[in-house]
Amino acid sequence: MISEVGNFTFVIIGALHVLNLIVGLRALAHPSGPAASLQSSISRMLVLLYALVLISLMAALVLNNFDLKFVAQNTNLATPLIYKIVGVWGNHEGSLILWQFIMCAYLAVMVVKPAGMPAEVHRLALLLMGFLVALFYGFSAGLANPFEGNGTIPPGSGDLNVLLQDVGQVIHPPLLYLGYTASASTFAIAVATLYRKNLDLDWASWLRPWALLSWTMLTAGIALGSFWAYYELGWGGWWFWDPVENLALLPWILGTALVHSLQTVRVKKQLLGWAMLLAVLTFLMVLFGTFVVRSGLLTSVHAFAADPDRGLYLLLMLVIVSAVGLIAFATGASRITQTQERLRANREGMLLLNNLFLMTLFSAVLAGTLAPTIIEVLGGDTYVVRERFYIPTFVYPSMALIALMGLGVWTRWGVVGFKKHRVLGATLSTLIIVVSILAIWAELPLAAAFMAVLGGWLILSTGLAWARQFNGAWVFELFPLRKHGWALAHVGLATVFLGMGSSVLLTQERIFEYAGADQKELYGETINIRPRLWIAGENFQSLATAFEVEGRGVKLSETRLYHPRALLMDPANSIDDRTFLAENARITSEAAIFRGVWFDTFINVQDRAGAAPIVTIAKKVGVNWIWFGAFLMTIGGIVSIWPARWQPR
Amino acid sequence: MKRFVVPSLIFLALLGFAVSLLIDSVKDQWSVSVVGETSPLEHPLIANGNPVLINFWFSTCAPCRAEHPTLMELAKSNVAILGINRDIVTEDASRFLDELGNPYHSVVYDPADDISAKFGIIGWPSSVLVAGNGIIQAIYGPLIDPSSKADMRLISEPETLFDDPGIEAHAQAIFALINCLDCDANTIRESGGDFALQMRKLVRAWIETGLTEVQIRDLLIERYGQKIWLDPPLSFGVAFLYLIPVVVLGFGIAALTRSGRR
Repeated sequence: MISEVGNFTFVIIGALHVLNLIVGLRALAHPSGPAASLQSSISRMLVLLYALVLISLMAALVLNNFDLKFVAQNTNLATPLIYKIVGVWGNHEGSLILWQFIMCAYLAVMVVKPAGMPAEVHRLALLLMGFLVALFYGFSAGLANPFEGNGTIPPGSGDLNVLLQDVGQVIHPPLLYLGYTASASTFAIAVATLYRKNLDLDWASWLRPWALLSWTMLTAGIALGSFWAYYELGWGGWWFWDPVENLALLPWILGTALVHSLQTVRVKKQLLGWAMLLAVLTFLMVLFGTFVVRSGLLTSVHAFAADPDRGLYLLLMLVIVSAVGLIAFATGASRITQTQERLRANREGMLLLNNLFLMTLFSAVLAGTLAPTIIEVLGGDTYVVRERFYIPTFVYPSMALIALMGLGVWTRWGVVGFKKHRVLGATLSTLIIVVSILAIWAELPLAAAFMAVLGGWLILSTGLAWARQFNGAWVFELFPLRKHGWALAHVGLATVFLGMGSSVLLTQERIFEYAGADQKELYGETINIRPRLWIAGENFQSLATAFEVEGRGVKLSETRLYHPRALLMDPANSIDDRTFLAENARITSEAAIFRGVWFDTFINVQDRAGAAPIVTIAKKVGVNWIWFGAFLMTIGGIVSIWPARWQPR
Repeated sequence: MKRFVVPSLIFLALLGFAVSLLIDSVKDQWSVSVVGETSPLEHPLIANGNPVLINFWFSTCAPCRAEHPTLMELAKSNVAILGINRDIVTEDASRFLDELGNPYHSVVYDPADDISAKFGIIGWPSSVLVAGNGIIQAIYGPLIDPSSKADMRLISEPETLFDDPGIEAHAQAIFALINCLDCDANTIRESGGDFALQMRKLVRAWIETGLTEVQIRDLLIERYGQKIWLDPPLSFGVAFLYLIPVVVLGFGIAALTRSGRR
């Protein structure tokens, strides 16, 4: 019953999308006619209907409505309630519905016309946004319909991917989708503006909230994914250069460039064409990532199953949207009139360099991600690149970016020269020389040493520039919060680098075979290893090893077996019960992490067939600063989003 | 002179294309190695999480008789052995096994060599080691010489860590560079799967015999292709990849210093 309601609603949504486009075209011709108000109500209606579809999908999962293929594939009777609910976006079909829901929510917000935006630009932006959602709807309805009936899948055989059965699944995908789809709004507004004859308008203020929203949500989403992988994937890393991570990083880099370029546009009326191009490209990059991930072009821990039809549709969609965006840019850019000044040591000059290095990072990540595909197409042998490629091409250019950030905050718009330039330049160059010598002499990883030390330097430089802004009057200068956004974001990024650098430099690791209860003296701590025991979870059985770090309590490192038979297993069995493994039980490992401000004691037990498990005890220095830094960046983004002059109509 | 440039370039391109096709077809003919690829044979034993040794044999083959004790020894371990037999008369095969003992988990009769052709087997006996994820890990000839016997022991023995923490750390660093084929872009250091386990044991044995990281890399790439090694050695394609960001930076600097002069 509930799924019929959902299915019916889903069909109605399709009709509304078509209606929305027709009405949108009409409203374009008569911006103040009845079509315009109808367009507004359709967009609000769509939000409600999509919410209904999402709820019906959740209900179908919760009520084990196995006559839907979607339900049979993604849940079974043992799946815990929370993972049934958030399981809606743990798969291809459902995540697309969430994606469209968020886009429609943004569409409904875009209905409120920002101050100064001409009505025809506003209507065209709404039409474009409606068109983009409709494209995604077409994909859902045709190739990824969650309401498709169940033909062959036996009930109880499906489940939410066990790696996703974690609280991270509640918030990580929605945050990323909030970020990705906000760039669709930026795209729609930018393209709508570009089709106008006279571009001498305050379009930077219309783009800015959306660009910032997209950037903020992507920052939070990517950081949360990294935080999750650290404890879930079992080897305690925080960035893997996994293709899908990289595909999220690409629009983030472009978004960063866009947010900064929009400042130059607003203040100096320069970089107009460039900012427009970035606004268009950011969303194209999002679409490109969607295409790569959902067509199964690359293998990744995130990949959905490969499907050529889906790939073809998404490729077509990418081509159409690229054509719309790039043609608009090509025609619109020629109408942009601006005077470009020379590169100088002022704020706009620093932002130009910021763009230059961000584009370098962008090209490095793009090349590295697509390397296996490009080389294979060119006829070579396929291969994968990781740190050794990204250290010279990504990490060192980002060091240049850090130096620029530290110096850039001491420049002013239009005024050549740095305040405090002697002090800043002297400390920076001294640090670079000292770090280089020390790192080479002590055979430390140079890139990590730079990350840590320059990160620390950037915190100081930004902090001092921030303190000047207060002028000694701490409390009264706090509001509006907006003016602290830049400092939070910059200090946050510096903290991220400090954390990443320290963790690579100072992390220590000890690996040994598990040999029963034991006591180890490691890193100045006493670690008690307890005997292993079986623990029954709601839908898994886990072989757990308890570790006690004196003064920091007891934590479990688990190897979890997700299998209906796991619950019936004799606790006396060892994990390499062969018949059990033969049935393809899904296994996850959970690390025991004793968190601390300065370092984490990270313990992981890895089971092996036919041998004692391997225990890894690591002292991970500074890892939590990475996510704390990202948290600061997110706060910085949030306080900056709200425009200074927000006048609906 | 100039009008010849374009046609000759097109001609050269076509020639290159033809040569590359030719090389590919020659490669297809002669390279029988399916190592690193998914097993072409489907069987309940294959890709069930445990390693399988597929042994190709027939009763009147003398080296098959010679390698039999090695198989009997291996059968005691957790490695299942799948026999692919090419005897025309199946009774011959049964008699052979009655006489010498049966190491096989099960035997598949393949008198027309359909299965062995899929694996590119051109000599008997041959053995193919398939890892628990269905990826072909290695192909062996007769298991009679000391080195292949040692390999079989390696397969059946559990993984042991190095006592010296320094060497162990070195081994872990190498593991972190070896792609665990077909397991979600993990490395063999992180993966708990059987392919990773077998690979770690192999690499540990190589480290023990004193091979350097570069030698191990080259051996693995020779066996499994570039995709086995993360961060591949410098080649034309890799150099091209490194150049991309450099070119972007260069063009950017050029554009920034040129602009605004007007």
